[in-house]
Amino acid sequence: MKLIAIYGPPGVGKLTVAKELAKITGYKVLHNHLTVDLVGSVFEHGSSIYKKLIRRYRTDLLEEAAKAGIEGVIFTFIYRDDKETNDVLNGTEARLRKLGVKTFFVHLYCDKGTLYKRLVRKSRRKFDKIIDVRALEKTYEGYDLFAPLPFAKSIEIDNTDLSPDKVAAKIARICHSGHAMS
Amino acid sequence: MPLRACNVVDAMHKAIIGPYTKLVVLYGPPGVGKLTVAKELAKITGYKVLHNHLTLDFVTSIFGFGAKERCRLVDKYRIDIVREAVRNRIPGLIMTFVYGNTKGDDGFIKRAAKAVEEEGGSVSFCQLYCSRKALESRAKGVSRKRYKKIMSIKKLDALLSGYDLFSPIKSVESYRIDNTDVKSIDAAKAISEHFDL
Repeated sequence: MKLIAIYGPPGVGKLTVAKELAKITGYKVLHNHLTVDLVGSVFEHGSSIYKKLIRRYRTDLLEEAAKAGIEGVIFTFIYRDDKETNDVLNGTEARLRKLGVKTFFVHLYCDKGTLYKRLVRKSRRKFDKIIDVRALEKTYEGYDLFAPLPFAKSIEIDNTDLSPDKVAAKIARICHSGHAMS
Repeated sequence: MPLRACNVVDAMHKAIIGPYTKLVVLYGPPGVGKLTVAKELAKITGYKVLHNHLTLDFVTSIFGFGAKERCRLVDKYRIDIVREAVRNRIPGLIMTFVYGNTKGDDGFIKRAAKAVEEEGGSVSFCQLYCSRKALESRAKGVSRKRYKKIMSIKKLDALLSGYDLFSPIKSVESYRIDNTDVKSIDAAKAISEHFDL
């Protein structure tokens, strides 16, 4: 299975790009709000049990996908630059690798002004997403949301002036050439 | 269950103070108004709402209709999150559910109830149903677009002819509400009073 893991700040366009990429590749889309909304319905956002269950369900479903022989999954997530997140991501990637999964990390970013404009878009209301700058700053206080993850090489894409379909085509081209980034 | 100190404490807590978590399973055919009633009930009780499409849409992202892993995984995540809710002492949880009177559904109900009770919680069952005509008009409601819900009469018909979606759950006692002419808020009030939530 190929796993294309797209990360970047809220509002940068992860889900939009994921959907475009799914059209090209036929891969499934496991976007971050499926688990955020599920676990958030019962547990307080940001609590330790909340984080634990989100990780548990994401990892578990990805492992099930690998075991079932799914060809490809596009996974979106928000990367927090702390040790705990790095350990978890690293561990998950290694576990999936043992199941034959090739992971490609894609770091999506844009300039701050563009991000703030994208945050308020109407399409974001379907899920329980952050839709204003203040909520963004409060939720991720102390984190650099534009940081690339340190333990693996990412495909770096600045999408400030790049349409979602162009970003998707670029990712598809790189991943199709077959070189896993980890 | 082996007799251990924590089990004794749980049993005493249940007998004296009440269960750690009350789980209300609100079930009925698609479109009957489970989520709407659940939201009203949440306003009255302060309980959390775990509606069926949260787990369903999560699993469906990878395992679509017809995938053989689908039901097993939906059941697995539902039972796990309900168990964790009791373990973490969430006071109350309303879970919406489509019961199709199948062996799989009965097995799920049994395992979910067992998980909750093992952790010191209690389970109540409430069935919502309405006339076929009311169901068809509700299925087209705009509020249903947010999740991957059934919105066409054709799909609803196919589902209703394939499954017995108006049947109460066989193995347990349910509080039944015909909500054909009952407002969601009144249904919620009735449930809250009936189970003393």
